[in-house]
Amino acid sequence: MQTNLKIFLILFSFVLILSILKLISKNKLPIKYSLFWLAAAIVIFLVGAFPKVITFFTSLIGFETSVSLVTGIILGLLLLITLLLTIIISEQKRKITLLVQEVSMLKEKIQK
Amino acid sequence: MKKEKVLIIIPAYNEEDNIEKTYQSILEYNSNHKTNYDVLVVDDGSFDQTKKILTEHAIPHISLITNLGIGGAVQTGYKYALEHEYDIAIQLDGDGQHNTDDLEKLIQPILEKKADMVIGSRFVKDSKSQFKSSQLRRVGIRLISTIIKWKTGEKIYDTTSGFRAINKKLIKLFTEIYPMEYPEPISTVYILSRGYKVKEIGVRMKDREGGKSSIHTWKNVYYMINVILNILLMKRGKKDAN
Repeated sequence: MQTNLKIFLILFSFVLILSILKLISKNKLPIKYSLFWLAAAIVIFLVGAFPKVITFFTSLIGFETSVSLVTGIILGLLLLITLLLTIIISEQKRKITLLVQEVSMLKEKIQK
Repeated sequence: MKKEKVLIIIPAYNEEDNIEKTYQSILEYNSNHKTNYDVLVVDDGSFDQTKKILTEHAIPHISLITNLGIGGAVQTGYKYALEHEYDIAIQLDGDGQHNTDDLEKLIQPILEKKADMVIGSRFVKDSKSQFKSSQLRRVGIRLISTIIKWKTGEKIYDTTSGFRAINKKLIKLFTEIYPMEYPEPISTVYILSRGYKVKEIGVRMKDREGGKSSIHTWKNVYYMINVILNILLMKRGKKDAN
C-alpha cells in the first residue's frame, strides 16, 4: 500500500472520530447511534495503521490490489450503516402510526 | 340472549363521491332489518371534500391527521371497536363496491360461532357477483390463493376482498398487530396459521361507482411481491385460538 494512502486513511479516521465526538458532546448524536460510526472509523484507522493485514486479506479474498480491498471495506461499512438506518426508520414508522392513530382518536373525542 | 354490538368500519381516502351514499345505504339496511349497527368512517387523511362531507352530514368518523394507508386506517377502527366493546367489527369499503344487503350473510357465521372471520367473496359458488375484477388481477388473486393453501392448508378464494367481518377475539388481536400495507391477504394468513376459523361467503360486488381506483401496473407487481414474500416469510405461530 502507498504511504500516501496510509497517511490519508489515518488522518481521515481521526477527522471522523473527532467529528463524531464533537457531535456527541453537542448532543446532536446519541451514543446509541454513534457507536457504529466510531467502529467504522476505527476500522478505517486499523486499515491505515496495519497495511500488512490488508495485504494478507487481499490475496486471501482474491482482490487484485489492496486499495480495492480498502474500497470494499468502506463500501461494506456503508451498507451496514444503511441497513441499520432502515431498521431504525421502520421502528420509527411503527411509532408514528401509533401516534397518528391515538392523536386522531383523541381529537375525535374532544370534538364531540 | 344479549344483542351483539356491531360496528361497521369504513376506511375512506378521498371518497367525496361515494361516502355519503355508502353511509345512507347502511342506515337503510338498519331500518329494513330492524338492526342497530353503528358506523365509523376512518378518513385516512383525505385532501378532497371527504372530511367536510362527514362533518356536515354528522356521519360518525375519525379523521386521521395524516395519511396512514389502508392498514393503519382500518386498525384505527378496530382500536375504536375495542375501546367501545363491540362484539363484531365489519370492514366495508367506502367506494360503493360492497353491497350492504350482504351484511346479514356476513355476520351470520360469527353469531353462530362457526367462524372468527367471514370474508365477503366474489369467487365462491354462491356468489352472484357481476364484477369479478380484471383477468390479470384474477390470476394474481388465484396465485395468492394457491400460496395460502400451501402455507396454511386452507383454501381462501377471494384473498383481497376488503369486505370482512371479525369477532371480538380478532378485534383485540388486530389492535395489537395488523399489516400496514395490503392487510387483507396477510392478516388472513396470520390468523389461519394461529388456528382461527375463516369462512367465505358469496357476495355481490360492483365496480367502483365514482372516484378513481389507485391501481397501476407497477403497483400490481409490487403488490404481488410484497404479499407473497410476507406470506412465505411468516412464522408459523402457536395456535392461540379458542
